[in-house]
Amino acid sequence: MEERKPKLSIRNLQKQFGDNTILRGVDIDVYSQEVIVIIGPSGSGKSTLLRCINGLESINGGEVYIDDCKIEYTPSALQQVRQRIGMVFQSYNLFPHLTVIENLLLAPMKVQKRAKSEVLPQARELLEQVGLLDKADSYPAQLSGGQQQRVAIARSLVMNPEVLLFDEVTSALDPERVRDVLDVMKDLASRGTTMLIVTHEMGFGRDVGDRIIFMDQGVIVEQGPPEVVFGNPQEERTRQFLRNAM
Amino acid sequence: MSFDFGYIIDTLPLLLTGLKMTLFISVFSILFSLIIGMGGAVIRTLKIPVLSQLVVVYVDLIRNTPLLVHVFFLYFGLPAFGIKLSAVAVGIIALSLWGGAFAAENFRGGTDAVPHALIESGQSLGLSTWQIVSHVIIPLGFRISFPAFSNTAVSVIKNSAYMTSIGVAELTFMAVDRMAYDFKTYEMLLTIAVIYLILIWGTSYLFGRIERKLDFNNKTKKGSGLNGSVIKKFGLSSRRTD
Ligand SMILES: Nc1ncnc2c1ncn2[C@@H]1O[C@H](COP(=O)(O)OP(=O)(O)OP(=O)(O)O)[C@@H](O)[C@H]1O
Ligand SMILES: [Mg+2]
Repeated sequence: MEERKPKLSIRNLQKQFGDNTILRGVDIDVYSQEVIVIIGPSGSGKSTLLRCINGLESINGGEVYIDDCKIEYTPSALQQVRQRIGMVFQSYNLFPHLTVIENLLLAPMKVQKRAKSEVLPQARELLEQVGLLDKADSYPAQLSGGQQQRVAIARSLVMNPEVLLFDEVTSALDPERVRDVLDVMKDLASRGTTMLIVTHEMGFGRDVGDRIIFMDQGVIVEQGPPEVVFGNPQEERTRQFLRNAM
Repeated sequence: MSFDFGYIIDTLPLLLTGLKMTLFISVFSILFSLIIGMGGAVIRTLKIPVLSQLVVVYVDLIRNTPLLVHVFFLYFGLPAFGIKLSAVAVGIIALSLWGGAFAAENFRGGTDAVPHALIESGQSLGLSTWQIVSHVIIPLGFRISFPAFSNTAVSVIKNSAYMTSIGVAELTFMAVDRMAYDFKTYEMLLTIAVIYLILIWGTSYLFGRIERKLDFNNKTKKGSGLNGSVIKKFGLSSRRTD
């Protein structure tokens, strides 16, 4: 059998803020079309990990590879990498002075230099996919949190990223809005999108994840298929966390 | 003492040529103030080394010295260095530098208030620093600090009267010049005061209109406007359920 190469490969990643060590050597291989769900207590370094992958934080040790190509942490190299690795944040961060459709068009046109005539149909299709085509000309402030978050997901998708990072994208939402966003992500998973998802929604993680990673204090404590990590965790720390989280 | 209306009517055409010059100088000076001010604000917000310190020195220098001294320096001082500028050019340069220093402070309030999360969201989409500046920081910073800038713009118009001192034929100069012949002192001064008032009111009205146009949050059903907190303003945490 041909050896499968990981799409994204994180090797011995280390990160410090001053004297504070946040990531103590993290290794993850993400394969194409795989959905990885990262769980762990607050402060365990989950957001920091995603931010390092996306180059929003510099790293103090280790490497990140995308398709065997090592990510260099220089501004111009990162600009390239960020077109291939999309990120969705907890606080949506839509550009408030642009309409929904303008939010989607900005990066493809400015960064990828694609023609509007080419991007627009794709952008509209993505809005349709997240159920918000009728909001194309609204401003972000006119949308609910859940709607803004779905626009933010569409905004990442229109760049045609190879990997999508999600950092607790439902944590800022009203409970009744969470479902819509999770449904969009499930839909993406079923379409074979490669995703790294940090979430506190354990039920969702179990449903959607091909592999679950439990992190604590900057290291991966345990990882495996959802049945194992949720159903029969091997580590005491995982059991303790899940008891408190469920 | 009677108010000589007929005299005012007679001199009105003359005053209007002065008003034209006032407008000419003011429009260009406000435009340049805007450009200098926004440039300075972005440099300060991005903390670009050297340039940032230069902006601080420039703003401090201009704000803590009298405008009249700038005008005299440009008009009477520069020729010593072999640079001879027309009075109108000096007027525009002096007012632009003055307005630019104040506008840099105005706009910096806005560019600094752009949430870091939005800059990161631009970065995560692969936008370059310059693209983030031109598509996120400037448009948002401009909207936030536009009301403050409109005060500076109004001051630029009022300060154009200083150009009388170097003989620019603007509104105040025309009036004072005429007064020396006719001794209709209070008619003349009252008249130009009224003209300035109308001009300033008109400008304030215009800027108010622009402000409302720029206010993307006014387009919301809530219409929270630009008066709320920055976060509310940006709809960053706005979670409307509908
Ligand atoms: N910019 C920063 N400067 C200093 N310390 C930071 C910075 N960002 C994060 N930290 C620290 O790093 C640690 C890990 O933070 P991180 O946000 O990655 O945790 P997390 O697992 O995402 O937690 P949560 O579930 O609460 O989001 C925390 O102790 C935090 O205080
Ligand atoms: Mg986090």
